[in-house]
Amino acid sequence: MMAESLIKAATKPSLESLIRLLVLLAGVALLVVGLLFPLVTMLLKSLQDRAGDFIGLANFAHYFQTPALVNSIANSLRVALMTTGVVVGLAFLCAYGITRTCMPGKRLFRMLAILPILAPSLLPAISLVYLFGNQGFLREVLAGQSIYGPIGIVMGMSFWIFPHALMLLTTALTNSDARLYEAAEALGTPKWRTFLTITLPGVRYGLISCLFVVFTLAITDFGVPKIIGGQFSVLATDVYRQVVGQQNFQMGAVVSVILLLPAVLSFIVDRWIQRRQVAQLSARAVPWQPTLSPLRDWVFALLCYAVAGAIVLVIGTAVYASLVQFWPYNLSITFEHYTFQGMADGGWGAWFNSLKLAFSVALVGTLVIFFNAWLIEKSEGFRPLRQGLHFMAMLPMAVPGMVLGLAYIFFFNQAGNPLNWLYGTMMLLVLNTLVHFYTVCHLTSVTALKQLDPEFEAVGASLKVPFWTTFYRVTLPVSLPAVLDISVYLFVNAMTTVSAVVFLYNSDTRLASVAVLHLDEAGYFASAAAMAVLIFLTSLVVKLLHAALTHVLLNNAQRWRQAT
Amino acid sequence: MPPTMTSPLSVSTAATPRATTTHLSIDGVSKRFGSFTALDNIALEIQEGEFVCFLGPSGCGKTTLLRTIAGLTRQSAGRLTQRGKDISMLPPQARDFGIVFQSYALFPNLTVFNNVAYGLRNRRVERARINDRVAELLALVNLTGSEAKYPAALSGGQQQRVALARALATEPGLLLLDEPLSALDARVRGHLRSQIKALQARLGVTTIMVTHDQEEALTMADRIVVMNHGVIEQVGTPAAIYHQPASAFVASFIGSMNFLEVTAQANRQALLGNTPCACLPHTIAVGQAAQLAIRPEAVALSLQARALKHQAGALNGEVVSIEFLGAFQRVTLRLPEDHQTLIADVPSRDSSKLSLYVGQLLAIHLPAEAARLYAAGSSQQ
Amino acid sequence: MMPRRLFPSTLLASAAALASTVLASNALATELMVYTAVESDDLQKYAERFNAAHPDIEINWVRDSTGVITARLLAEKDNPQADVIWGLAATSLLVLEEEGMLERYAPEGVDNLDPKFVDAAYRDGEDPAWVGMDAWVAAICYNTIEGERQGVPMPTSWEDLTKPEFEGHVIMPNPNSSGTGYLDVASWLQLWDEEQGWDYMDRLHNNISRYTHSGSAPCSLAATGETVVGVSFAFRGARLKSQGAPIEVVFPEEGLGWDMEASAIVAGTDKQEAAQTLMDWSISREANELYNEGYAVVAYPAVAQPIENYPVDITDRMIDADFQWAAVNRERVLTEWQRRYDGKTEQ
Repeated sequence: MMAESLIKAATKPSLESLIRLLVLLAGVALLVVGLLFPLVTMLLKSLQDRAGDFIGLANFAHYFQTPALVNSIANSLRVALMTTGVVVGLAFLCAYGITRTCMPGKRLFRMLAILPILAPSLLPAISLVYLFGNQGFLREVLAGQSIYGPIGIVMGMSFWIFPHALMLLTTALTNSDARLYEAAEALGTPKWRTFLTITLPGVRYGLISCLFVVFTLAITDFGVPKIIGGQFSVLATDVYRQVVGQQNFQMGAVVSVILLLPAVLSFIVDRWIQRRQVAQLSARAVPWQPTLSPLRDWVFALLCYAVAGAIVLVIGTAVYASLVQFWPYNLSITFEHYTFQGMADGGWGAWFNSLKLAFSVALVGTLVIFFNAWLIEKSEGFRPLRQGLHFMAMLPMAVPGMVLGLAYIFFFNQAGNPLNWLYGTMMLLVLNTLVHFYTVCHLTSVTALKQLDPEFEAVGASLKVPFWTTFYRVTLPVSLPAVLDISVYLFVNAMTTVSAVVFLYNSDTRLASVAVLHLDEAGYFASAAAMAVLIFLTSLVVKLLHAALTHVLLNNAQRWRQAT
Repeated sequence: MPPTMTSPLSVSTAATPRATTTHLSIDGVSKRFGSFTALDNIALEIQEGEFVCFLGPSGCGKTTLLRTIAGLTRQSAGRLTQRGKDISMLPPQARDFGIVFQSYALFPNLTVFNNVAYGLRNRRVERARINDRVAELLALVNLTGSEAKYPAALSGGQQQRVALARALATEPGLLLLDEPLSALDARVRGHLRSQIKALQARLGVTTIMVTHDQEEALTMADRIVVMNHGVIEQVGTPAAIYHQPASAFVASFIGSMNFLEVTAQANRQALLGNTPCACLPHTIAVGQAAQLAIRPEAVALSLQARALKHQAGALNGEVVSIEFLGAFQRVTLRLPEDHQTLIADVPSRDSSKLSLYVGQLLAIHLPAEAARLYAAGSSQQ
Repeated sequence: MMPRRLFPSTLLASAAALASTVLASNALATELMVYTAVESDDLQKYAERFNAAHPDIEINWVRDSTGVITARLLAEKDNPQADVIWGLAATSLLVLEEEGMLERYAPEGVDNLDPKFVDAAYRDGEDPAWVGMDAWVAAICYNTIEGERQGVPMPTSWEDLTKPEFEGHVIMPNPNSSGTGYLDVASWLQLWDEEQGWDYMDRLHNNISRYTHSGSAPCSLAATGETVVGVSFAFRGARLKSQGAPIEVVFPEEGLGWDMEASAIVAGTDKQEAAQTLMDWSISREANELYNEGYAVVAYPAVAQPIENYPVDITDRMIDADFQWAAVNRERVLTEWQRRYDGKTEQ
């Protein structure tokens, strides 16, 4: 051990390794300042009274003695479990339709099914009021039940979480081994037994992982219960109410800690499963191809079209709501609500701010996250640093937006913090959004990088080419599709997210998604719908541009990509 | 080249006649990954212009040693000196080597030309000179005309040759080859083997190749370094390694080898069951369990079995199976005394004299000059 | 879908306009951080009118509901972010004054105002800590179409709202976040005595379908027929009615709770001069004419003109509100309210 550390200490720092070290340290600093410090500050806050004195678990004791607050735990669990059931059930059937049947119109369905991702989660909630509210055109469907409450929450969450589940399960169901099915068929196994003994076990890790992802998204979601929850309170809205409504930061911190628990739990389970799954996939399988079966194909097609229809209906309703003069009493069409007269700056300022945020996060985030992932994955040396960075890169997934946003208030709004000047600036919003969505981008980068030959960097080094040259001449161009995916993911999320940033904007940096919330709070329902639609259209345009750009790039790259 | 046998720790440089100067010397190099020791106090000298193979089973540390030489893995202890310069602490960029990996690691988005020119472009070499140099290298690996192609459009063997050209482009003093042929199919492999060897001889570049394929090592190397469990078992010419394996491990790893359980006796003797057998001089204490190693092609079979059956000191065995392998037949025999099996390779022209059949009893002769005694249990890899 | 040609050009134009205003205004202006609970549809108008007179001062609005702004100011007590408060309930400003967070200042022309609209300390010879702008008055928004359809009669009194036929048809603001909500609660407690007031609210609570975040929302929900009755305030009811909502603005016969919107300088601001300029303007005749566009009762007595959908005798129907009481008891009342009714609040 002695000798080893001596050798390390004696290593002459070359320019390259110095730069490597600096970039790695910058990456670590980013996540320490943007994630760890705020979280720690928040945890401490939950143990302090208003004056900032340490009072142990007294806040928690108070929390558990307040029935109105404790109820939210059960409420949150209830809607999250219901949403998980609905979403995973539907998504499994649809994913099965896509991967295991010859249903017609798969491409169209997949395109439509992805649309909810482009909208803020506030959008379905607004639409649901128009559809199932007291004046809604489908209100009879609910048979007298109120949409304001668990039903609305579950429906709204199901809408925006569905695509996430569908993508996970489609991937899981795509990894099938035809040889197993052939063996089962040769043995004369009935279809239902084949399903139970081959299909389900084959996707069990994907399914469990999907269950936890959906559950986490549902239990931490803020937008839907905020708009349509009515008197039904959940943990995420409690954080908002405690902090924004009552400026009771300590209680906000307590609820945040409680909200953090299920998210951390499912994070741990998901990590565990990921590890297991890697081992499972080691065998080389022959992909299974579905054969025609008209009855089955059409049953799944109808189901998928029904789901797609519901998605289109919800989005269409939001668009319609934004165009109607005075719903439900004056149904003439107008663009008036797009002037956002309920807002001081006409609302377009907020949209412009969102655009600025989304572009900045997409640009900065992609570069930072991909480069850091590359350093973690592809460089030698500084092992503890790289492992530490990787671990921290995985953490944001377990931190709900509300919690991260609140943690930022605590950390950055301290009078003594040298970073206090960041508070309320666009830069802080960029940092917050980047950190909030770090993990998925990091994993996408790592996956893309793992597919590259592990020796590119060694070859570069042996040819005396500095690592950054190899990075931009080889690694970056080869990984370009993944890089574009990351940037569009960041853009869309920065455009639609509301949970973390709702605590962090100020008058100059109000965002479109926050504006939806405020417009709705103040009773400007049509303008709220208009803003939500505006966000949706912006994301849609960017997504289409991304698709076109990816298409062109892949065509160009076809020369060297083919036959590999 | 005369067969030379060298012990792991004292490498005799005088033994290789061509070599006069040391290119690389490895001095007490160790590498630990946590509690696992990948390299244990390795010492080795490699001569200028020499072709050395690191041979051993997977996990023996040969690739780690190669990567340590390249600077891609940092040794836990020890020193590396290249042409008299201490390179122990230098990053790969500051060392003088070219490397070819098993995966080729060609840059998929760059043409063959740009791949080969990759290291040249960074050195501010003039455009025209780069063109000349790339053309020269591609001619060297018989790929003239493929400049504009992308790696994906080339066969595996062609890709490997591009990788070789790229590694040689910057005229490195040391060429490192990490299992360069193992991803290729057998026919291409055989062809490329001789091509690389010829190229190396022509350029005179000091070369280290890592391989787990003994045939590759035997045919290509000037010297072979046999490794196991992070230590060097033996260093020597292919002939020395084959004919005078320094350990039971080397004996078992290179070529086919019979190991018979015996008891050591004094005076170049061992006891196989009750039968005394002659062998080469050994250092194992009398009465100790030992292994007698003998190659199948050294075992002599004859028809006098019936006559020798009950004579002391005479060995015989019953034919259990016969495999036809073209140039020879591989005969598996069971020794009646303690049911050990023995394999003998009988050249096809001799086998007709024996008219082999299963169940046949044959007389076995184990020539003393081919029989080596090793301590019991030491042949496990 | 949207007509494609029209949409992006509007979008581009406004983006460009915004960019140029941002660039132009950043160059010279003093920026004032102004906290407000003024209805958001009017904020832009307020800033524009003010800037017409004082183009060199740029207003950065932080707007939220009364309760939120109050809580935020209190939370920032040690590190105040606001320079000026323009348009916050007097009851809240009294609380802030109690905390020593307001800077006393007598704006130019303060003597022109109705003395009721100026901090009482001014009568005792001190500079006022705050000056009033206008009064906002409680009212009930009643959707006539839904009322008829669902058999809910138009209420005429606060007491009516506790009748069984109103069960599940009433929405009111949460007093914790909404100034309107608090003025309702405070006025009921003053109108009757405390015990009766809470008893009334207990009965009313049974009929409430939910408590909203803002004071406007109940009226907006009544206007869109999501509820029949929304307990809100006159300004919002009058405006929605003139926008064509099928609602009646009901002014209950027991009397109307009200609160004053007022302005003040936040102690410790380093932009004294600009803050005082804004305060001076905020009580000017011009400003009061601006307030009068939405509010029937304003601080400048000569200015007030009757406005559409407000009763002419509104001043007479306003109760004799004791802001001091409302301010002193604010925290106690809100805690009690939370204890009793918090399960039903909107998130």
